[in-house]
Amino acid sequence: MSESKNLLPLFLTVAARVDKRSFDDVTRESVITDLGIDSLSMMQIVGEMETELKIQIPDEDLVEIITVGDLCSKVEHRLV
Amino acid sequence: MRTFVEVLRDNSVYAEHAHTFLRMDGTERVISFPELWRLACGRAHRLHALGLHKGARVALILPEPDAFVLAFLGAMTAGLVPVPMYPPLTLAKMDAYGETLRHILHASGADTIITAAALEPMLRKHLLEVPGSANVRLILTSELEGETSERPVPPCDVKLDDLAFLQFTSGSTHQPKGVMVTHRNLAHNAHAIMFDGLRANASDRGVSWLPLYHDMGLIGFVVAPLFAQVQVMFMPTMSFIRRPSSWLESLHRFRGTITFAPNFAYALATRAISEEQSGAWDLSCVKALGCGAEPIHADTLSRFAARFQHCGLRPEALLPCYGLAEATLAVTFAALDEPLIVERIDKRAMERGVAETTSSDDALELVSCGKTFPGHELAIVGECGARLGDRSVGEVWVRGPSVARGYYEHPGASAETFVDGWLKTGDLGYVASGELFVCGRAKDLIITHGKNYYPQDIERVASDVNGIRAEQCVAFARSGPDGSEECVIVAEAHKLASPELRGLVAAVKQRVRAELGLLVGEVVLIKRNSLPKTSSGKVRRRDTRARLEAGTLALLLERPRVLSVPKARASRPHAE
Repeated sequence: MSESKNLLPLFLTVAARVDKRSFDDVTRESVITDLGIDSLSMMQIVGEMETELKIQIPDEDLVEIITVGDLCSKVEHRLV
Repeated sequence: MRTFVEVLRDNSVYAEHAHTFLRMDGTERVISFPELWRLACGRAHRLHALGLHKGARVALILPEPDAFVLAFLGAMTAGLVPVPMYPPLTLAKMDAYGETLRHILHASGADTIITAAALEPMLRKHLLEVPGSANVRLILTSELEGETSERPVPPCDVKLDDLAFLQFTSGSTHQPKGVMVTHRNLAHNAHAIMFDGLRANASDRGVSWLPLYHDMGLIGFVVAPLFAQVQVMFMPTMSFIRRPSSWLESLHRFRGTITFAPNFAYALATRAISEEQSGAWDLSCVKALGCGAEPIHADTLSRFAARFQHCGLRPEALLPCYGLAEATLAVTFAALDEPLIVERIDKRAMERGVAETTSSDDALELVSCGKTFPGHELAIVGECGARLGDRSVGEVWVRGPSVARGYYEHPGASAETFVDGWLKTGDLGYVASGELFVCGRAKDLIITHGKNYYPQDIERVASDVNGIRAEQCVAFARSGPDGSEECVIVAEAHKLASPELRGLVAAVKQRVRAELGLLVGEVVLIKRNSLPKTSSGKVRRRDTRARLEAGTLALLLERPRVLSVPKARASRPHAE
């Protein structure tokens, strides 16, 4: 991975806000559903990340996302 | 009685009326009613020029509301039969999506897809370039734009008994069924919704984020409002899902009077919208907050009403309704401007099929979905086929001019569901003083977050996972923590050690999510040959569910209740 911004901390902050609970021991390899995040919460997390970063993440970017890292990479890509 | 195309044409005199489309990138597009007609005619001519003629089925995969609505109106004006399809689901696997598309294309006989440039590469890779795929032509919306003559004239005549479009919300993904909706169906149902149900007039304004490939969004907001010259603000579904506040914000900003959503959306809005976001809203303009498409919970609606009362929201605006694609859309509406009618029903009596009210705490709470429309008839029918009286639970049957013509090229399924003018809905309910209460489902459908899943699809995917005994599993619905239904899978597993069994549970959840986009609530692994079956070897979903609740299944692995994380969220107090 390049020196681009690491979005894991932002993901964790936003996920905690959306699901109203804290997340521990999460890495980029963590599988999103294993964290108990359902698809509705996941989309709200995306929405809040968009607001925080003032970017748009098109729907096409959000397919085949399995791990936290998959999501972070897609968002990081939009920041470039 | 007019066809939808005639309505579009006649509406072109309302130059001051317009639809507003919010797009994913935040921009807004306003299209006046005369412009809507001009653009529809332009697209209709382009479609004819591309070799598509009256009666041809054409699939639409268009996530942006403006592109979808214009293509849909253009295809209808051209006399084509649009087949609205859902865009790729977020979080799902693309090859599974491609497979679903192929089944719908096959069932509808559509060989053309109108889509957006952004989706083209994905469709090429997962649909067109897959070996064995039939010839499918992609038309991009950009090919339908361009100059048209100044006097809009449709290229052909569309009649009331022509097929208007095919609605694919029924059947499993492997055997999808397209409901044949005619222009006559549309006209009747649109009148029922707008005039009998909503008493709408040209000063009303609709706001919708509902998916346009689904009946509630499509008939409810693309078709019906134009019959009453009602202007609509369309938002992308994902805008609401990503930012639930955007729905009510739009009602406030657009001075919306009519909106509809499934139960889960009311729960989500109550949970996710902050006081700060709602502080300045004035929602006193809203006269109808329709609720349908999935089981309705009284407490979800009352919490929503209480939460936004300080914005001027009137609780009487909540309007539960019942409908299904096979009846075009709407079957019953609760009375406008009336409080919710909620009944507390004795659970024991309910098991006998009788809906007796009770004052006991341990009761089933059911919300009335209202009465049926003039010209339509409702019947509750017992298993023996006899009509039942008030407060007896049976299958809901509907008759009237909104009932669709059947399933497209599916005579067997049509004959089972459409009988002597009656539509057998597959839903269970009872009637009391003319009010319909829906309390269950004769079909084993799982409805979560407004989307229907067929257990056969889930079972097929789960049963493919290594370690699960082939075809020895069932999927069914139970009431989930957030008011929506959740899916439970009970499966026979090969003998393994506990850590491996835990891995197997995760693998099943993972696979179902990847292939179907569905998050499974619980996977229960049981011993081989212990799944309840009929004498002919068919799985028994209800029986399995009852045994799971009673604790009499032969479990291989203790059920980890603590893992059910969303429960913790739902049980939190709702005050901020």
